[in-house]
Amino acid sequence: MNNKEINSIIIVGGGITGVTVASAIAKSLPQIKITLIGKDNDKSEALSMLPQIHEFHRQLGIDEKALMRATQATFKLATIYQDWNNLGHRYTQPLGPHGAATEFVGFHHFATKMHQLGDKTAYGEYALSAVAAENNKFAHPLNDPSSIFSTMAYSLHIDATLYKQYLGNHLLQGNINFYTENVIDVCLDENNGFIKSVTLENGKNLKADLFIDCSGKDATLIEKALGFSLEDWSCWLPANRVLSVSINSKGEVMPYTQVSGKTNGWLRQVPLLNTVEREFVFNNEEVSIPEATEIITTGLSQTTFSEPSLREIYSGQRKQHWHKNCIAFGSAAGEFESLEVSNLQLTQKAVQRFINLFPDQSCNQTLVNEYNRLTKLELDNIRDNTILHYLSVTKKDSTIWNQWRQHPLPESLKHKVSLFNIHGQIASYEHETFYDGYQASTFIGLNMWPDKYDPFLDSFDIENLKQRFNYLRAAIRDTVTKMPSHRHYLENFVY
Amino acid sequence: MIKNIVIVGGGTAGWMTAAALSRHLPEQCNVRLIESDQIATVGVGEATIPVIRTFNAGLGIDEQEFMRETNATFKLGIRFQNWGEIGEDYYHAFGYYGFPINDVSFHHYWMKMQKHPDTAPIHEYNMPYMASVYDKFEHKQFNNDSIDSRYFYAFQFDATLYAQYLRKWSEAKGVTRIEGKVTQVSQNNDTGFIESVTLESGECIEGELFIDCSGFRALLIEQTLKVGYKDWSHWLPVNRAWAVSTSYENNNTPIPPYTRARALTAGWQWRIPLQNRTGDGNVFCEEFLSEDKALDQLLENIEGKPINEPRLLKFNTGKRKKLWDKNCVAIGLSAGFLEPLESTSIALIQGAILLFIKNFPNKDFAPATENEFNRRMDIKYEESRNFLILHYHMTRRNDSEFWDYCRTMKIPEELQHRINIFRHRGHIAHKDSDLFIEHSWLEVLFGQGEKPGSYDPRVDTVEPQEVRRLLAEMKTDVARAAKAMPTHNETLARYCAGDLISNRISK
Repeated sequence: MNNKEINSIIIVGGGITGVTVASAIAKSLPQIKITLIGKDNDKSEALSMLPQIHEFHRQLGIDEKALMRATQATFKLATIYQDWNNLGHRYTQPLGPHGAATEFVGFHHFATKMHQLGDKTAYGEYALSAVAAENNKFAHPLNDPSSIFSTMAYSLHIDATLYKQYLGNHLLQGNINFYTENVIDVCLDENNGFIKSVTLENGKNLKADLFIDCSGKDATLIEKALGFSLEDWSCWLPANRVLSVSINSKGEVMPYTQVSGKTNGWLRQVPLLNTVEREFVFNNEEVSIPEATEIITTGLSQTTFSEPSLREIYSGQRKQHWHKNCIAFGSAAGEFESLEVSNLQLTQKAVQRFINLFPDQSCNQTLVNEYNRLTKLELDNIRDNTILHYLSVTKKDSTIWNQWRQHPLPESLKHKVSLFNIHGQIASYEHETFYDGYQASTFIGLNMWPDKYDPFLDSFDIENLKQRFNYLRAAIRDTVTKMPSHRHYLENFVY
Repeated sequence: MIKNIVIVGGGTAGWMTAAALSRHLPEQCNVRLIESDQIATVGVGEATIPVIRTFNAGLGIDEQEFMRETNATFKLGIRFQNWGEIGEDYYHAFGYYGFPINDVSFHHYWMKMQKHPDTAPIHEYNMPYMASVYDKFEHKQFNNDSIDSRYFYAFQFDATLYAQYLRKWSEAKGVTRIEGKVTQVSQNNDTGFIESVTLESGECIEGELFIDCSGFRALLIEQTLKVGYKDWSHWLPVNRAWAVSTSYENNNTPIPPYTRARALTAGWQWRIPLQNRTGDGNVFCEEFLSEDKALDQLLENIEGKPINEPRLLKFNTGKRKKLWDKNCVAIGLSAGFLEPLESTSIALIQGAILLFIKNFPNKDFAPATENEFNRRMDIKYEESRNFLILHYHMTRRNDSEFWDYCRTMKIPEELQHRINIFRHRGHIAHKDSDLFIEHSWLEVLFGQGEKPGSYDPRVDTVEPQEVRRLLAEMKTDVARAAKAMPTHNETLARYCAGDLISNRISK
């Protein structure tokens, strides 16, 4: 039973994924010798994260203010969807909850009843994080449950390149060996199939107890050496290209990520301190590069934006994330178009999970199974949430979208949609990233209102309910009026 | 919406359902409960787990009044005797082993340090465990940051009185009780939906929705709808129980704040302390021990004097293949039976009620609603079952055929996975949907003598001296807090007499 502990790790891939994984392991298990191999092939990217990032930073001992200063970061309160179901459709998906605490029944049931009574208020108006986002305001949440500020929740927008540098400087400096050469060969142990060593371009052979694949879609170890292919999700999430530009911006700073539906694809804008990173996400059989360039630069003058840069993405996940002494993170493990959450969020969660199940040199199969089980569940759930966004889209009419409509949904999502449709209940699966109220807000934002609300509400006095809703809306509006603007807050309290 | 609901069967399940429905559904809903005075309720589920408080709070029940009316005592856990091996003794207490250090669970540090002379047995770092050992109990609100209030509690009560209490409560809320025995069930010829039940008196009671709380008879879900039964007796082979009540020696006899489960040769014996008496019973497997011998065993092992005739219960561990079929939902013993070892019966009733209310059907009974309820209840039953199997399987006892069987039987894969992951490095493969917290699993695994091969490697990043200091501090704090607590008897006397502030959570 008493196997030797892991003393050395090789991470293949020098991008943000590799550095994130290295930082988290170096912080938790400083006794382990970490070697990071490979060039940084990351294209610049602005990350849009979830509130779970706070826990990750706490564990790594990262101070929010210092990190923000170093990474051009801004606050994120919501994702605002524009022209999504059709032209003119708009909704705000806040990170914080809607409404006030209610007994037994989720707030969205009350909103459904009000909606059926003819209330046309956007659902977001009942969430402080949403209204603050729409008005470009920000203030930190408070812990005090009697304060309306306890219903705020936020995350960050971060420049990926600067984030990587920050992690490198603060957590890896002096503790880690770097090689910038590529891996050209992987040597397996004939007896047990474990990875023994990797060979670099310069002929150097490096051994370790554990190998981590952060090589992106190359999947140098997990696929090329060990042969684990992908489970393909492109039938559900067909986007395979991202074209991005960086736009100078000096005015208001959006405290939200913006996603705009286009005829064939969607546009995402993530605000950093002095720039807005704009991405167009599409399928290259549908949209040519010149067309994509046209879409992404519409309305911009030549001087205000950077040269567009293209990257390939795919939709799917590795059939095994962890096998023997090799584990994959980031795009080597799985990837898909991410509307509200950058894939790095999944890497952060995955590496925390891995550290909680950290193996010894034997890489006990039970740990491997548990990790793979949880990671797969998590990705499946987020995949379903992403596909959900396309169910209400009415304007897409191309070969790809017609094929898409014919493809049956994952069973888990089909069940989730019909259950919500009937009476607004959330079929919660194990290991969900988004809490029930968040999921309800997505359905409602997409105009997929349920047919019925919880019967408990049938005994509520309608006038009383209307009053409570009016009061809530007014309280949120008043609070937001008094909040500082996002830029003001950033300049005075962060930068 | 559905306005006409018929509950068939009273007892704990029936009245808990009636109370919750009348609390939750709008007034125009008509909830009727058919109960026969001729049919005795089983009412053995006298011990509960902490989630019961959420249920009571949801109804807005006054805790003091409820405790007085049901002869309830406080429960901090379950004491297991002779499970890992004859002579061993441990508690599954509703709390935690120590505090985490640097985000790593306490028990990993303890595992590293266990050989050190300053390190105490792991239970000495567990507050409700130590309070149980000394028969102490103090009524406190849970506070995760403070060692002296970092525990949960449940109750031990007279389930028959609890049903009566909820009956009063429900009737005041407008639930109609109909006295009578169901003799006939009518179904729709085309759909098979239940349309009405007919009583012995000839009275016909129609409904849109029927809830089967008829206990082991499963009058609607099985006798009428024939959904089938998943038999789990190969994993949980006990199938009989003798139950009896005994008196306390005198008014000063210490009332333990826990339920006792003492393993015997072919099962185990419970002792559930109430305010005025104890409930005792021998749960056994008839293939390994005759009913007569089991009764002798029970009477030999009780502490007080029996105050009623012992009753024999027969059961088969398992659950219905579907708890919800057509317009009928089974709640309680009609849905399935898991033996009372971890007091899960009432928790499963409560879980079913809350899930059913969440997924309350529309008139069209859309399949997704039924599927969701059945999917989640399957998970709840299977996870509770696995936790029970753990107690029987994780043993070194080889003194009887019964224990040889349990020790060597093949267990469900998911449970084997959890055991394997614990054995390797002391991790708990916990799930959001688990009825018990991670530390409950830890307490049973440690309690039954399981020892992991190693510990979380992050433990080695903390200086051993610092770990020793923190461990010593926690041990002292637990000991001090346990010592400072009043006895369970004192707290009961004061609380139920109305001295202390009642824990009323009304909305």
